[in-house]
Amino acid sequence: MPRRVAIIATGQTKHAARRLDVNIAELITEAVTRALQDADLTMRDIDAVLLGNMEPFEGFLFPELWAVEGWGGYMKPSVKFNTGGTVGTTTAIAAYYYVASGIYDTVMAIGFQKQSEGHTQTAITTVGDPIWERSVMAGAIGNFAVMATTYMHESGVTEEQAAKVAVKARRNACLNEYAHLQMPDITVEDVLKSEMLAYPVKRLDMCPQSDGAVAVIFAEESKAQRLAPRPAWIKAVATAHEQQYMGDSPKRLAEMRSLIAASRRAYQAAGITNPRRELDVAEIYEVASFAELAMYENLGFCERGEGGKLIDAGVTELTGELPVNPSGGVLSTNPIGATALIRVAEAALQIMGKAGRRQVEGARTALATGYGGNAWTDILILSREKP
Amino acid sequence: MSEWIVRQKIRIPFQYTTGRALTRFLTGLAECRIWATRCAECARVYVPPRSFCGRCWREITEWRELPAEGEVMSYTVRPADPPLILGLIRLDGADTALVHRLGEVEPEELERVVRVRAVWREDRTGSILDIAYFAPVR
Ligand SMILES: [Zn+2]
Repeated sequence: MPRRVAIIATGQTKHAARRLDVNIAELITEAVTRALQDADLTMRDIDAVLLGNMEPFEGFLFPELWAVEGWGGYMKPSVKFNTGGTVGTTTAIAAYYYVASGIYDTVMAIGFQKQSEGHTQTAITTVGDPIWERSVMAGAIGNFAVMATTYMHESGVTEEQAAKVAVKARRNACLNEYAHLQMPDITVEDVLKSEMLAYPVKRLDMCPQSDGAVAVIFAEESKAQRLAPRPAWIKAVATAHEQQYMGDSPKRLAEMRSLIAASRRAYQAAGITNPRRELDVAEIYEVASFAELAMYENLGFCERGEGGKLIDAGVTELTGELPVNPSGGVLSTNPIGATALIRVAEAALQIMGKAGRRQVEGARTALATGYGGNAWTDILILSREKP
Repeated sequence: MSEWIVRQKIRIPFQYTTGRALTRFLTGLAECRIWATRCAECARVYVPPRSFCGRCWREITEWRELPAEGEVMSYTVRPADPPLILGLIRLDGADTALVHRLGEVEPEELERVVRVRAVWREDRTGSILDIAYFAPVR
């Protein structure tokens, strides 16, 4: 039997397009220091450190080696994870396994990326299959655009409905002191009029590139109860992976098979039968506005083809029935190696009642997702109740 | 003095082995032929071809030739002069789709384009770019 595990503390940096005031090690230290303060612990209380980063986005391998004094790994048990968009959730799920196994009691998961130091589109191009896909298309935007067109056809969502997601994200971000893109006055028209990157995706439909780091501390049951007034218990974790080529599932956004598989596994483990009613808040990995609408459908928040109606009805606004990304989400903050772990940290903050101005009142059950390489999905369900 | 940046640029050459299935596929393209593989268990027809079905976790040995014609599943347009149009094309008889360029078509017409065919280059070298683009069947 796995042991019960809870998140007891989190720490984030101020995320920004360019954190030119710090190097990578200093950036990580900022998040780690805040997480340790949050739990009133020191680095000596941490049994193992797990690190997430998408290399070589900063242009060098082993960034963790050069940043070791920042992440506190000297002579500690540690592993680095590099799984694309899911890096952060993979690191979180691994931290859960480390503690649940009974081998370590207190484990810190860290995610970081300093995108200003590298060239993200070039790095993302190296993700594509070199023989076929890289020769005809490159980068994340064209890829998403092709999927978004299919999704619009399949579900009938409009560019306006997608723009509403982009607006919700940047306005919610104004309530989050750590968020990168805070745009209090953004309108649907602003999104629709922003530069067309690749039809139907416009600049304001896409996530930014950010510098940022996050640290999350996981602990076993007795420590969690002693150290945190209200721990965020891990109720379920799940992962699933798709096939490689984009054309292997031509309706990839309309039918996100790995998201469906992983979420249903997690719902079952957590005893959730109606996610829209039983979840109180969701922090999902929506790299583009269109993707968030597709994720509503694939996560079972609504029926197929109803994603656009959900945003129209305000269901996923901070004051709605099921707030999605009160933090501002990936559309507001995207230091890739940290992004999915930020979802977990934000979901934990909601359960712990520490989400400040973006707090969803009385949140008891929260969902966090990671999504990477168009294929890989991670899911975590956090709860105020012990599993 | 508080913000100091060191700038560098690294050139990294790579070479990729195409492997058994893709070698036959690329050789075929040089002869204007499109080769696919079919999984004996799930009957999925893969193009580009694989030596292995990831869904069934078994080797694929059956080859079949597909017509260089099919259906546009999706597209995107990148603003440029002329605009770069990318499509997701499912060839007749395939279960997977190919990403490639679309040509001889204006962006405004795309919503009406359903059937496309490969337009082959004269100087073919055994590359995916032996297909210059896919054009509407008019
Ligand atoms: Zn098969």
